[in-house]
Amino acid sequence: MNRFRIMPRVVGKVVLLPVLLLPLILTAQSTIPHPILNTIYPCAAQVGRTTEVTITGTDLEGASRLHFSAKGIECKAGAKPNIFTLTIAKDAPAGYCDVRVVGRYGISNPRGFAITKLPVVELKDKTLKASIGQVIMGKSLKQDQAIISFDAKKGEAVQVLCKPEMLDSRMESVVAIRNASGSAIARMDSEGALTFTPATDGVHAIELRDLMFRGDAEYAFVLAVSKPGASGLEDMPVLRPKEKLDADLSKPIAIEAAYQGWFPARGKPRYFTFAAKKGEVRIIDVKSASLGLDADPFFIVEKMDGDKATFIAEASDRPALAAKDEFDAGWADPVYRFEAKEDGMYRVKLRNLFPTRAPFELSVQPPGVGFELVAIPSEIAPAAKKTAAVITSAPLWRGGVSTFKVVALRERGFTGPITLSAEGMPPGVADLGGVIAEGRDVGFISFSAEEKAEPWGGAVRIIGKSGDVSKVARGATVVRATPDITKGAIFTRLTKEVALGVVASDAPLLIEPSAPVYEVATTGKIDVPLKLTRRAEFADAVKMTVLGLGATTLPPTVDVAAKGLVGSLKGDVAKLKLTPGDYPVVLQTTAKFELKGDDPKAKPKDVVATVHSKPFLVRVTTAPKPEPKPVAKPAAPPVAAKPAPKAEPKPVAKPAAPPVAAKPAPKPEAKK
Amino acid sequence: MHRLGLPAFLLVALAISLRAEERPLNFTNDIVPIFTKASCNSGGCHGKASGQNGFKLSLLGFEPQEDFEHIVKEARGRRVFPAAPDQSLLLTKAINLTPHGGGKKLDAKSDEYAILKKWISIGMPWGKDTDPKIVSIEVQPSQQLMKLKTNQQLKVLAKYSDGYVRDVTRSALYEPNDKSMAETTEGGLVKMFELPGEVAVMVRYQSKIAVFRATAPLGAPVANLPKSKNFIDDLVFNKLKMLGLPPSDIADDNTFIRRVTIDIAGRLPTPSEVQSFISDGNPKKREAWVDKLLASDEYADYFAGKWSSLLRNKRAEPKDARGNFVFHRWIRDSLADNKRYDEFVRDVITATGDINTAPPVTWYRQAKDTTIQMEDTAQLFLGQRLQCAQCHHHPFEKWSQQDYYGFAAFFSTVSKKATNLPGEDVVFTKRAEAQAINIRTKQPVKPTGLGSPTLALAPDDDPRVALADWMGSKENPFFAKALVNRYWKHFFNRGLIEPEDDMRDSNPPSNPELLDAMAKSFVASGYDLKQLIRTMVQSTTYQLSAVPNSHNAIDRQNFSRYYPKRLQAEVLLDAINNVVDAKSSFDGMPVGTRATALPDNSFNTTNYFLTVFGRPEGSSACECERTQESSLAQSLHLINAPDIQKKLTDDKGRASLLAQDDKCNDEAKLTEIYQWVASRQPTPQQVKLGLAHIEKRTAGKADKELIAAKRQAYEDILWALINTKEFLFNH
Repeated sequence: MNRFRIMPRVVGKVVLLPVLLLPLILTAQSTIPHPILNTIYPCAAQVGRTTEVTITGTDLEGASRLHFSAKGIECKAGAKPNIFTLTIAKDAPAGYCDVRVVGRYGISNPRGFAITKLPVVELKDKTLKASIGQVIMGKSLKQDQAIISFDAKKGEAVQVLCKPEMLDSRMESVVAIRNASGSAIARMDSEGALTFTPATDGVHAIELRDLMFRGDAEYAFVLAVSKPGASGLEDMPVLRPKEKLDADLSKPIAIEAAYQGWFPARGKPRYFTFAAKKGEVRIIDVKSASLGLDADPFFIVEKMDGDKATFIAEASDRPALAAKDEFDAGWADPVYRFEAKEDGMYRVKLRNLFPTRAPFELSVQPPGVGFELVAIPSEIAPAAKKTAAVITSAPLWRGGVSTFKVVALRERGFTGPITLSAEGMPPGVADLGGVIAEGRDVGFISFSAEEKAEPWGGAVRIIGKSGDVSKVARGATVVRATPDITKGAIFTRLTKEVALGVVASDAPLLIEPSAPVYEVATTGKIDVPLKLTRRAEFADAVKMTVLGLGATTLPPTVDVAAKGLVGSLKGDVAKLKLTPGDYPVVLQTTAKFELKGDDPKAKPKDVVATVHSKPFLVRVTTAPKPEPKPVAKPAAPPVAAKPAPKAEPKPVAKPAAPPVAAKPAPKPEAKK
Repeated sequence: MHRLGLPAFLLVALAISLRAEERPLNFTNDIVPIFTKASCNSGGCHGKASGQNGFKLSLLGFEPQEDFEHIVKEARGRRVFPAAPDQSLLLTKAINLTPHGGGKKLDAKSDEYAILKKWISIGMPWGKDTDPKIVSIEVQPSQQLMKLKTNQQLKVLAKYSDGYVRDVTRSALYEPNDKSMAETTEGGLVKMFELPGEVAVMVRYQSKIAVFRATAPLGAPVANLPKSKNFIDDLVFNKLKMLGLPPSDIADDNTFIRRVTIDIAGRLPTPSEVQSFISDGNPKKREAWVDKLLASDEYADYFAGKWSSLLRNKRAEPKDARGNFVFHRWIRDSLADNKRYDEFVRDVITATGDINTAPPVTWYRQAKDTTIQMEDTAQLFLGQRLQCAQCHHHPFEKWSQQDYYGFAAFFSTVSKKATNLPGEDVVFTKRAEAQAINIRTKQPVKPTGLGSPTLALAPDDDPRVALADWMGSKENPFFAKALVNRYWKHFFNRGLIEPEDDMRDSNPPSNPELLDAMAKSFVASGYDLKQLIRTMVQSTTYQLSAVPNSHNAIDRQNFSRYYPKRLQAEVLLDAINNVVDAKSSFDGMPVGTRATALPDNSFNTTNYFLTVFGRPEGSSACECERTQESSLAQSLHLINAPDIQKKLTDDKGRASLLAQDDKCNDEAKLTEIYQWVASRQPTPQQVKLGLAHIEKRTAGKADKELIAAKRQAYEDILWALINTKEFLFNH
């Protein structure tokens, strides 16, 4: 199932990677409430000032505070719901940050928010008189354009910066600059920063509109008019090539480990050479698109004999990150494992399929440990339509489990296991650990809340380790809901933080395996005992599906009768075509239960939630080979040969006794 | 001039038949031309892909080997009967003895019948491999100065590989490129009508083409030519002198400012602009006004609309909208920035990336496959229609299937991959050897520019870059001419070659020297589109009056006067809005958006005016998608369509405002209306007529009734004027 193909996008200073978020679907019946922050306005605030903001969204009951990823922002709830007063410290860092709302049902998805050292002026009408050194904030005018005028001086460069995407706005800004006589002197057809130098003194005008003249509350913008580089909202470069843009980029460069450079315009190639001896392995890796840059790199590897180049291999997009039934996230940056067939010089011919002059990093290194992690909240409610995607968050209900899928973007040919842990949780919340198994790109980490855990919302850190290498996972979110991703775009981005919210209500169901690791041979059968804890008067029968058992079209299911408290996951390893290795598994089901609100007089309403089990590991081991049997000589006449007795079935790995009980496996961390 | 009558023609025919019998019969050389002449192998008969009633011939006999198989061997050879040739189905059908859907194609007493009969009787020989092959044909005379209403017999000689020359006048086919100027007979007699100018007669025999060009002067005295301003005038006036076709006078300032403003900016000049222009004493004011127009947003909008349609910026589905806006914006910016035309074209055909990084990849959304990509490129940028050559040798041109697939190979490595935005794929060229398979030979063909050597490209070269290099080279024989001719038509209402994107040897320009000079100038300018427009509109030729003199009313191709043209759909809608002071409202666009600034075709569906006046849908690379013809539906729409009535009667419209305005008298108000409609003052008679109508409406009325009546009077006047040809046409 190809659910998503996601292109990288840049959000603020955060480096984006392509990720896949499972679709969460709104069904006819109510889904379990989870706060969604739709808009926050004003969407910019000046340091040292107090600003009152209003939020909109759904399931915002009990919204008590806003959580900012940036330091130095104090938030107080206003007298009316969904209104907050922000006090921005004078030393708060300028730039874009994430803001989330914390309420009755946990913590929401993020929205972008701008902190600026420049005065903020709101565009309230079609026209505005501004000045250089101001930030203009507003919403794009539907079927119209805004005119922002300012005085400019001949020869003094001006920068106009507008990046609505950083606010998670729907606006796609188009900017044109006109001089005093009305002539267009500069334009910017997509968001970014535009620098121009007026040729005359006088009033200049910025024409600002949405590309398709759309506009409403979801089309907010922040536009900074400043001297070049002085708005405080500029991008921090993710790569810093030392070479100049106007250098001769056609010259070959000898590369030893890694090199940062520029793609020439119009897809012209760059050449890099390296020496290798027969049998040596190099991981040739390019980073650019994965850093959120406008690039689609492609390279070929050639053997050089003097000036003569002989083609060896080409590398384009990386393959899907994991099995197709889980998701399909093509990745534009190529990687290639090169093994020298002979001593000699080799060449990488690198080019950008896009015409843009983006920076890149090329590394040609021996295999090693390298990876990046992205943590994605799992489904909250069951999917009615597989082609829809909605905004989600990570609510952790008392006594329940909240699960994140963690995607490993492996580098340097690294295939080893990555153990997952977390920190920063409040009292009463624990991480249940997790692992991304050897050779796999996806794993799970879950959090559990005690039955008396206090409500909470904030950032946690998910950490992946392999040997000495340790990486903090970045979060990811769907920016806005898409009813049908085959007809409309899905917009996702990385977030500044991974957020978790603790909900002060009982989880309807807790599913626990009897042990964290279950071992089975390739010829054996899976039989994992499960324990169910029911709450909130949830008594329905339960049907679980299995996440994590690889690319199988017929995953085993677990059925538990109404009111049942035990069950077991069963499956035939051979039929599931599981090869030896570790399989992090999470069971997923839905629970329809009565949700009581804060008002005791209010009638409880039925809601549906997706429930995940505590994670566990299925470790598939190689079955012992059968003893070699004497084979009848092929030349012998068939009549003379005795019919060979049927091979006795070999004993599978401890089938007689319950595997978990018989051989409790060590924790995943123990497997090195 | 040769004046061959019917007896002479019969002698020629006799000579042909005698000569034909002098050499052993060869199927290709002697039999196939008979089918072609009789139209048996035409596209409407047995030559179509599926054949006709079970009998198939190759189109126009381009594949003799296949024809031989079908005639001699197919159906157990039932079509030919050597033992009794006259009983052959091939012949009994041809003379309609056996009922034939196509009727009688040959006379039983004709030479062609005799040749076919002989060929059958001797066992239907294919011929020998060593038999001579046709090398070329020559038409005599190749060009001729002819008087109007006279005739010219052509003689066609086929040259063979052994040096043999054969008169094939009777077997050749003839087709004039302008049937209003001349007609031809089956025997090659050219009959000139009464229109002066140039006409070309395409002569076709087997796969060979020759052209006879006749120049028919009017012969009127051309004494006082206007002052030449540039080489366009030199070459046009030379032609006019040669034709004896005196040009009209130079248009007055009112006419000029209206004409050039519409042609460059797609809008009417405002009354204040007209007034300012008229009162300007600067002798270079026309040049200055042209420069001002070229620097305007309206120029970029207007020509962006033109290119947007030609580049298939079509909104086929709602999800296409973003790409439509982005691509239109890119085209518009390119024109506003006066991007070099060769760079503009390069950016389109070599587009690589996604819509954000390379907006021209939107072209590849509608130009989905290699066929469309190469055919559009050839037609739009080179003026070559290659479509025919996909399945058979081009009937009117030299292009073979090998040429077709050699050109297609430039796009053979184009690939796409999906993004997170449906319909916004990444376009790129995959690493592969560029080649296309010739469907007839089944052999791969490598990238080859038309009429150029095959290119040697490495697998990781983008062949489209090589194509752009070839197209943009100064020596390219098609690229600059195609654009120059396209723009010439835009400004002069007729291409030097018609249709503007069908440039071929058999469809020569009406003024070849002018086309060459324009192309040369365009290349020398660095493919500067604005300079090209300047050169055209600053010529005296462009500025000639549309009013004919006593001689040139019949001229339709020599530019002795300006040829009026109906305003394009978008221009007309905007012009009506200007005249009646109304604003259009298009879905999702700001109120008052000019129709010329719309990004794509999607607005046609909700605006019948645009549809009925022929705004294109962006479904092809052909200018012909835009219809400029007038129709009854258009007339009815202007006369009584609700949207027009609504504009006329709008409370904030011009009629209402004029009726309420008590500062100006009615004469001044009528002047304002005429300045909008025709960029001129009304004549005294028109003022008198207008005042009389107002008086008639308002007689005996007072106060509110008077204002209402006056408003109605102005509505009437505006309604009448927007229905005049003076308003509807650029002249």
